[in-house]
Amino acid sequence: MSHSAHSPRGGLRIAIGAALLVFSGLLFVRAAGPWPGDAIVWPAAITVLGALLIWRAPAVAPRRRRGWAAHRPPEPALPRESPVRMRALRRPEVSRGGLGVALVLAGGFAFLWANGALRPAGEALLAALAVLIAVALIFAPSWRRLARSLAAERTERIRSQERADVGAHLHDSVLQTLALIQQSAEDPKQVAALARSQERELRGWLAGGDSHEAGDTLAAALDAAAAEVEVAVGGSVEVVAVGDCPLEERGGAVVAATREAMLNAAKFAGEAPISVYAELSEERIHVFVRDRGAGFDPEAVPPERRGVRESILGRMQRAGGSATVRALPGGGTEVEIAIDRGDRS
Amino acid sequence: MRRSPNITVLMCGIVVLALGVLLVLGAGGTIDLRFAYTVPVIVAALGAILLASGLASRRRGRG
Repeated sequence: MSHSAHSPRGGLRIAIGAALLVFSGLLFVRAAGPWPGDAIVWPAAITVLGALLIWRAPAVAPRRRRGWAAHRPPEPALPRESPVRMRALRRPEVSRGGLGVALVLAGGFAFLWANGALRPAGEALLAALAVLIAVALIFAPSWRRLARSLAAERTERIRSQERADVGAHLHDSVLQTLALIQQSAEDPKQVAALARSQERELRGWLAGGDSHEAGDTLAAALDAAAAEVEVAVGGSVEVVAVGDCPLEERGGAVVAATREAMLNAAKFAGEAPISVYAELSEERIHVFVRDRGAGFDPEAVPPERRGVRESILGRMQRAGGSATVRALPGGGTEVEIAIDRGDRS
Repeated sequence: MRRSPNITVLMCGIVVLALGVLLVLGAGGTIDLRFAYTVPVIVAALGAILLASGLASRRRGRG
């Protein structure tokens, strides 16, 4: 079973397990205790099961796409004989609500049949069934047409809403930035910073990251810190984060130390790009900040300069992690920041 | 790091132990171990294992 949004992990096993426990209880009462009779209890149990399925059935709602996928046109329908279509049709989705309705009806019929109530009403029921089938056969095509036109109208409404969303987003972000760039055309540094900031924002939006507030997770906080450094000092900071984890106290120390390392690199590495590589997992946080500037000797830093010593090395030691500053062969500097996330329970 | 116990395996062990105790009591004549009583016990054991497995899976999914 797939773990979709409508079937949480282990939900089916929990439901079957609970049903088996109830079933065993009924069997035990049937063997040992006062038992109202099979004709009453089993239809009632089937009906209750069906009712539970109906009550727990998810509301039908269109799945919201995120980021760029939210504005992609829907994929065209596959031809009827396509092997992909055949594969897709082999696994029909069972409607929980439909199954519940069927079980409730089956429980009702079983109760009536087991108690002999169906025999007198048999002819009337048969006539009603025949009328129902005839009505369904007569009106089915028009119901189908109505359902199709409603679905088409709904799709068109969703598309126009998505187009409006994209237009609004483009106006608020890209067009505004282009206007700012026009105003700052004589300042290349400002233009580059604006373009970088817009690129970062657009990439995040295309990747579907707009659902997270900046600083919500560690990767988002590192991105936000890089953007701050670019705006404050200039230069170009590339952040690549593998994985992600929530931002808590230790993550906050890593972000602050990484920000300081990026600031130092942006100040002293000149125009050389700064790259930040972060491996983020539930167990450990590992960040590298590299630049290709002139490089420096960490031992030669005067004691009164506290940027590296306190804001990076000292901060990480106090947080229970480590930081290492090393000169790269051929020029440049690398700051390695690592910390275990440890037992968070 | 602390490793949490596997709830499914734990529940399987408890169920097997409980079944063993019931069989011993039945063999000793302390309880009446008829088919009508054995079937609910086995069904309940299966249900308990499935329930524990589902709850453990949901717990893992929550991280």
